[in-house]
Amino acid sequence: MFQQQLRQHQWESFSRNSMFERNLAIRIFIYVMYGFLALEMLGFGFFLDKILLQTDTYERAIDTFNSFLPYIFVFDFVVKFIFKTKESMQIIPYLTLPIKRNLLFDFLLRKEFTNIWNFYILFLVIPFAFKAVMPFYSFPATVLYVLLIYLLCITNSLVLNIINNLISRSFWFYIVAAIRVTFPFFLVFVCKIKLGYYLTLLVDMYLNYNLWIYAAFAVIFAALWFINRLQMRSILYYELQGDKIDKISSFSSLTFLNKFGTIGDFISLELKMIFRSPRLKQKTVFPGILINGFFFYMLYSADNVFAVGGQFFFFFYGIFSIGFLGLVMGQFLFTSESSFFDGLASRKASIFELLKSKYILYSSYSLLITLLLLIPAFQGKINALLLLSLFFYVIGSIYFLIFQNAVYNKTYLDLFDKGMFNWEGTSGNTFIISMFVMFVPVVLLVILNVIFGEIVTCCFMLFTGLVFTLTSKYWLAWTYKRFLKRKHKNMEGFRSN
Amino acid sequence: MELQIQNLIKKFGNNIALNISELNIPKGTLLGLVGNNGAGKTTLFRLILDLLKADNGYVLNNGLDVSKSEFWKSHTGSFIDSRFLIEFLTPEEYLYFVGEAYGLNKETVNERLQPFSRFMNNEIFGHKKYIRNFSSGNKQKIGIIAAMMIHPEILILDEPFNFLDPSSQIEIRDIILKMNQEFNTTVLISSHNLSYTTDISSRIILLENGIVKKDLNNSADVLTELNEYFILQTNV
Repeated sequence: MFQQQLRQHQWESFSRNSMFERNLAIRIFIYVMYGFLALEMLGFGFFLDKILLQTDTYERAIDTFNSFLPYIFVFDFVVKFIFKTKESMQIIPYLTLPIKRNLLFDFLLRKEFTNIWNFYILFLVIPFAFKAVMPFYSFPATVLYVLLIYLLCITNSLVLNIINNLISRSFWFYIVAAIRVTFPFFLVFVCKIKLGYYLTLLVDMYLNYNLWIYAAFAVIFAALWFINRLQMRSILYYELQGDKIDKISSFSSLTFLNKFGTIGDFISLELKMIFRSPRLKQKTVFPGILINGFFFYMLYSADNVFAVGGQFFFFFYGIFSIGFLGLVMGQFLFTSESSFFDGLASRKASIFELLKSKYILYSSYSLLITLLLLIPAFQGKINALLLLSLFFYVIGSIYFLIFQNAVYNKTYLDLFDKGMFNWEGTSGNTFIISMFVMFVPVVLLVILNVIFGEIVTCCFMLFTGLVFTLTSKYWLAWTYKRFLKRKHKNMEGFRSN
Repeated sequence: MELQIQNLIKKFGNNIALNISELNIPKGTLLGLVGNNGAGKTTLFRLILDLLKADNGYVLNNGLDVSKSEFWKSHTGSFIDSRFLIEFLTPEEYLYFVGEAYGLNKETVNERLQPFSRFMNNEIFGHKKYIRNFSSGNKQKIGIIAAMMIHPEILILDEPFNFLDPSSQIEIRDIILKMNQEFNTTVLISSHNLSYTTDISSRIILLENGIVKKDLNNSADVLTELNEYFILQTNV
């Protein structure tokens, strides 16, 4: 009976999410976006066999795909690590009720079977499997292949849960996550092991109904399930007492910021907030390292993805890499301060100074990344003019757009609530502005690049970027004035916790 | 014996948050737990509810070690804080769900909610609002009602007077007392409100730095004694 109730609650927690509460248009927009992504993956899956055959790696597309599986699941791991919500704290309300804890733990684990993050990949795999598996095997084998990918996704999630639980114990366990991500690359590129080849053999045995493969997979899956279950009990106690033993990070030593007066104080506050709030830390620190690390990796990799993927990919990635902190934190302009905004607003220091300090901090971050990117620029990996243009485009045009969130954001954000794919603190306005900022400037650049070429695009970025950078003082003041007009309405929203 | 605590130690890092060598709470006791912030009141409640793992010792609820058995949950009602509410449900849905977990049908739940009608003050039901959209005071009321409507043998309420308006504080004080007298419920409440606590408690325990400093049977001069203790602490 409780299983049914819990399943119903699971659905209600999604369908009654505060993000959907206010705006029907946003709800429809999100469904359309999800639908579009699903259709895009389905379409890609339909033609994937042809694309894979062109790579000439193996004779059959299915073998090529199987040889890519380690990398696909590295991608899957990274995506889940960043976006998938950690579930354990969701059972707190049930802990004191007469419901057996093991039942709750099993319920949480069983949720993996219906979690969107464990079957999004099937939109790609199902059409592909029917085109690439069926001709060589049979219909039941095709279904088994889809099932295998689905179960591998769940297995990946079970591994992720174990690593996430370890990370919540100690920051050092991020190393385990890094090992999980780099291990396949290490095997292939350092140990020179033909990982892809062995995987094609294993999957082939699986599709030929080799019972040993099934048994081995069942044992691994059961072991991971069991470890998860064991970990959940101890991690639950740990999470419930977590706030009592959290050690503060040593950021109080940023004394040089004192020289900059109020602005320095606000920058220091922002940094402390990022590093001490589990929610913000989760959204910024690891993804920041990963995104920039990957950017450098791609620049130095033998087959430069940017050369293959074209300018859209480079513009998009370049903007995201250079402006990462501003783009992530800009979404939460003033909502990140929502729990103490009343205190800030009633004190002597002006909110305008807070806005300026945020701009300075995010721009400093962008400058740091740009300076690091100068190394590959000097080595001829990136065009220096393009890099410079991107930098100004980010700190000028892009930040101008993202800072408009300061005017429209009016939701409460719990800094100590975890979960990357957590909609709390993100309103419809935030969503629209963020989507606009992420895609419109990039699409504009691509259009310019196609019509006028790279030099003109760079000049456009440099010009608009410089205009917005040099006038930042004025548009920040303009943004602040517009915020003041909506101040009381926004602050009412901040208090809605 | 209703609740029995033996050699209970809980540490957070190197700090000993709670250290109780022995504490017995017989059936029908209305125990008030007082102490300054960080004294260990909530930690004790969480250990009694198996929400924390003790570093040493155990808690027996009706003879059952709470960390080894879960049967004690069927006769124990509690409310610690709003995290224990299911915030995406309406109050009606939540209370019916809790009722169902304790084997109560909707009619029985409705019947058992009657004594709380004044306490709810028309602010809880029929508003078509999810719990997350209620004020802290009303969330507190929903949690308290959910813990009490199951008529538990042991009731644990952490700071029940917090966030409540004066009328509601008086109302809940009387409801707690009535439940204790009518059903012989063992009640454990923690509070910073010395006046209300001494008004209703038959026994008062003063915790300080995780240690039981005073274990007092309620009498006319208990409030004075407690006041003197805290004044002395302020001067120190």
